[in-house]
Amino acid sequence: MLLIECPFCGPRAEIEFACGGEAHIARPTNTESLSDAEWADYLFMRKNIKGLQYERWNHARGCRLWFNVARDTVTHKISKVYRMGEPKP
Amino acid sequence: MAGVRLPFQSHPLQALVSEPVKPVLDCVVMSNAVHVYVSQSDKGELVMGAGIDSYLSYAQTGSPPVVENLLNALVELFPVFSRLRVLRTWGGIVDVCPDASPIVSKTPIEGLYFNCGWGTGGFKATPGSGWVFAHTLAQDRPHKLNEPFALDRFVNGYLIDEHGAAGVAH
Repeated sequence: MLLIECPFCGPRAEIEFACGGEAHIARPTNTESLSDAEWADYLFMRKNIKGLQYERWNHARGCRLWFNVARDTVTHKISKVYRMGEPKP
Repeated sequence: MAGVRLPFQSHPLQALVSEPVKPVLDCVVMSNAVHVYVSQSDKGELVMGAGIDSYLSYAQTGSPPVVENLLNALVELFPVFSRLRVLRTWGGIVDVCPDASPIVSKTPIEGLYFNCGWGTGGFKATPGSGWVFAHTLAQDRPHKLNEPFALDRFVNGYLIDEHGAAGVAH
């Protein structure tokens, strides 16, 4: 069971949250000139990191706000919680 | 791998067995409504499982809420199992594609072929996938059956709409 510290509500149990996957994936701005391969890269290809990963979580059964989490995918240790729009720690 | 990007996410898939009891269930029961599958082994243990943990993990163990949901579903289906004790639980890491179907395919690199991304499926498909993969290796082109399972489906948009095929949610 993960204990996740929502930046707005404080530490809560994992069951209150929904994981939104890898963070810091920017939607391309030149959408009209993107190739199919570039679209596929944006939509589907993920780093799938073993170790420190930056990911989005949503406090779905709480304040319903999104935020970012730096979490180790092997130990599940959460080293940092930070708000959307803030750079990677 | 070899410069080829893959669309996988790795998740824990948990399963558990109960203490052994006398014969009570002679088939596999699977419910997509309450989400559990259960069968009884020759030794008498109930073997059961459900879905994957929602977040990326390589920890080879999952979170208790997933097991709790599984057991809730089991008792919903079979109230008689509510007094059974759990013998052991475990988690394995599965690689899941965005469309929850595997990749059995040639790659842009000559002589390199992929048979991966089986996610929560695979065991029952082993003979068939081995057969079409052997065909792909031997003839350097996919068999008609695994043509749709190509790596480039994520580029051309022909995803496979079979999320329900494994009988579990993804």
